[in-house]
Amino acid sequence: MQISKMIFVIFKRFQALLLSLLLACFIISCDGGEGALDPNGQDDHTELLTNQVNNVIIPSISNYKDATETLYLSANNFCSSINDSNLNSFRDAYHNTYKSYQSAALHNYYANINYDLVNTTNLFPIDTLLLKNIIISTTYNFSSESQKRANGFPAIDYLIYSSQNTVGLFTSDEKKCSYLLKLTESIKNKAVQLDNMWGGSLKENFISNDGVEIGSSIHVQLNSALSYYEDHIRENKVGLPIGRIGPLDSPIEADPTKIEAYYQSLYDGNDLFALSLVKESIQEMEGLYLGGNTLRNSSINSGYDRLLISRGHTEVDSDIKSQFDLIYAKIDERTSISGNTDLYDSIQGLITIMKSDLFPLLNIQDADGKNDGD
Amino acid sequence: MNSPLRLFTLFIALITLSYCGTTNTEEEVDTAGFLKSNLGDINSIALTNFTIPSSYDIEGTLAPGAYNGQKRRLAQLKEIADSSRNEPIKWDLKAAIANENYDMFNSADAQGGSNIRTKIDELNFDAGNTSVADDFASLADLLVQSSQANYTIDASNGTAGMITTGSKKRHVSANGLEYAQILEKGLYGAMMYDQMVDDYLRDSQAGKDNELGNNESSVDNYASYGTSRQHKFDEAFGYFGATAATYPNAGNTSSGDGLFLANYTFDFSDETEAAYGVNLAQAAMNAFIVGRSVLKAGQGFGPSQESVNEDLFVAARADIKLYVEAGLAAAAMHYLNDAIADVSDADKIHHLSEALAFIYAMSFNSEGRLTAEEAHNALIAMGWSSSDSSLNGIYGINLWTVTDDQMTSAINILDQSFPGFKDANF
Repeated sequence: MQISKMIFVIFKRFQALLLSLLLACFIISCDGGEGALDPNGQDDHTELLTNQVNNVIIPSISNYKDATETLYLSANNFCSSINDSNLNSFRDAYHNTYKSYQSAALHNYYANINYDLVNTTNLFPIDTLLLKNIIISTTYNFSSESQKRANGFPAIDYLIYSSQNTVGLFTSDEKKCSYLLKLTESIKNKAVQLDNMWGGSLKENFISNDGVEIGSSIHVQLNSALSYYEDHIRENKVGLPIGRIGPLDSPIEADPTKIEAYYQSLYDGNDLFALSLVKESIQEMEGLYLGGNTLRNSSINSGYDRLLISRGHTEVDSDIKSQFDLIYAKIDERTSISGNTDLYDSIQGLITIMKSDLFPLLNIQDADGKNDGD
Repeated sequence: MNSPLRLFTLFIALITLSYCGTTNTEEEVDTAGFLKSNLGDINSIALTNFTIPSSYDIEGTLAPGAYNGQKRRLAQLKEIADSSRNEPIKWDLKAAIANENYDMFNSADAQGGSNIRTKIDELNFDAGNTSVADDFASLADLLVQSSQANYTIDASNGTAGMITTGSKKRHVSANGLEYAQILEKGLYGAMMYDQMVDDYLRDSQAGKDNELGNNESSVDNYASYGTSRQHKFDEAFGYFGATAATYPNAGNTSSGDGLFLANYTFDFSDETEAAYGVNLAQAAMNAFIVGRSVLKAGQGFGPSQESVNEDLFVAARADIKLYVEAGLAAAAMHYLNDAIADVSDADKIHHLSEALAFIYAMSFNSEGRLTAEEAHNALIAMGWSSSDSSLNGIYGINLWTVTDDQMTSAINILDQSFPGFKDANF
């Protein structure tokens, strides 16, 4: 064969090879992977849902469960030997558990809402007279409607921080320890119950319940978490204390007593612990959004951020991450929840982005279903 | 045996076998007539991985589920009906129907954030047309005012006051209208029956078009109320008034453990069983149980995991509507029969008031065997305004002078839609 002919044949083969490679690249890039749209309209979110369960929800519930077990043990230690050292240990355990609770509570759907975690563990402010009467009566029902305002962490806050002489009060009244032991046991039992639920068939059901329509796991998670965020973070932790409900509602009278860990704030002379609880809850919301990738490692992208990025909505993802940063900055620059509306506004800002951008872009209807109970 | 004989024997055998092969079901169908169940033989219904309970087991195999608002309203109506028997009536019944300030009632069952008014002809009420609710409000006022003004007077044609039937005293208008019967039984139709058949049992509610579907993920209070379709179905059941665990209780000859609609359905079940082979109360309850079981068996964790047997559901729903309507028709027939047979005017106007109320109640079913127009025609036969089918059309009737022929005309009109009811000895 002549050299020119050889070169021509080689070139033609090279052309064919190049074309094949280009075609292969095209096919691979068009392949429906996580977050890419399927031409038939059925996205597969199995990986996202699996990640949510394994790296966000279950770790939060499990960590909370572990903390409640430590809390219960610490309560037993304190009550078996009431002194300052054991009180401080119990306070530490209480702080750790209350923080863990913030993560677990954000997931106010499925087992958590069915077992009413929030209303049986963190309704504040408490009714101190009701609490006193319950302690005197030694009759406890931590699931009952009648005792809901003398329950959970707010009750513990009152018992261990409302006095400068907590040790003395517990020493002189054994009924306080009776109540504390039963309360921490109840908190623990509920946490164990939820941990068992999420480790059971609920996990598989959650993962297999794909789609984005009403009733899908994604729809449930995002709507329920955002609803919790609005009611229990924006409104209860920050809004009501400063006199704000919804962003469009007229301001109401501020009530600084309506914060988490109110009695500790009086004891400490600042709201730093309450602010740390706000931070924990916001961090869990960020964790949910990022699929647990809280270091924001861009090579992972395992959460809802990935869905946005893969569909070309990087600016919305960036806005959301920036908003979280802003919220943290606003938390860090204050020692009191009372004061200006900066923190409230920054928390509200995330709601706006999620409802206006995230939900529509992911084709998620902003709605939570409720039977009217009528 | 020779061949012709063998053939003849074979022929006789075949005839005999085919006669004996006639199933009881076919015989029952013929007897049941229009009361034939859409579900067929209840005992042959089998659901996948679910055993249909023998009662409306809302606290057991059909849980979770609740219909608290419905129970509350029935309890409120009971207090209203009971209070209207104590003359003079001092309670503001119009305010009670509206449950003003949500503190009008005494019994714990009736207290709470529910009222009757907003559920009267609700679909129209919510669209801004409150005329039916307003009619009942006016009726309540009329009853209270007349009671306070005339409770010491013996009623007669043209004079409002008290009549005596048996051991009971009843308040009637100058035209002989027993307001309390119209109020109570009229509300059977305008609230309970209307809510059941025209609202909660619709496709968009308990049926296949409910956008929240039949799964536990679409609602955030599944643990208390079940899926959305299940809850709507439970609410329809709640308005029926049957005690979930025991209805129909043959041992309770007074009510069968049923209130209002369920009570009257029970009252005439022996007669329908004798005439049609269908016990209305049991048939209605079977349909409720099967329908709810179909929803329970077919529920999903998420929307893509539902598997409701819609054919069975539709059949159960059809039976519910059929048998509840038949119960109302039987009650209307019964009171017309009584009014015709009554010797005293007092008994007659009492029974006639009941009949008018039941027929008016039947008009609240947009897909009933008896159309609203036919119900109005039956009422017109007894003097109801021909131009006003609303409750206001009743006030022109002079019950003292309604004739047996008029009532028979009404019976015949009803019988057109419920063939044989006029001969069923209700």
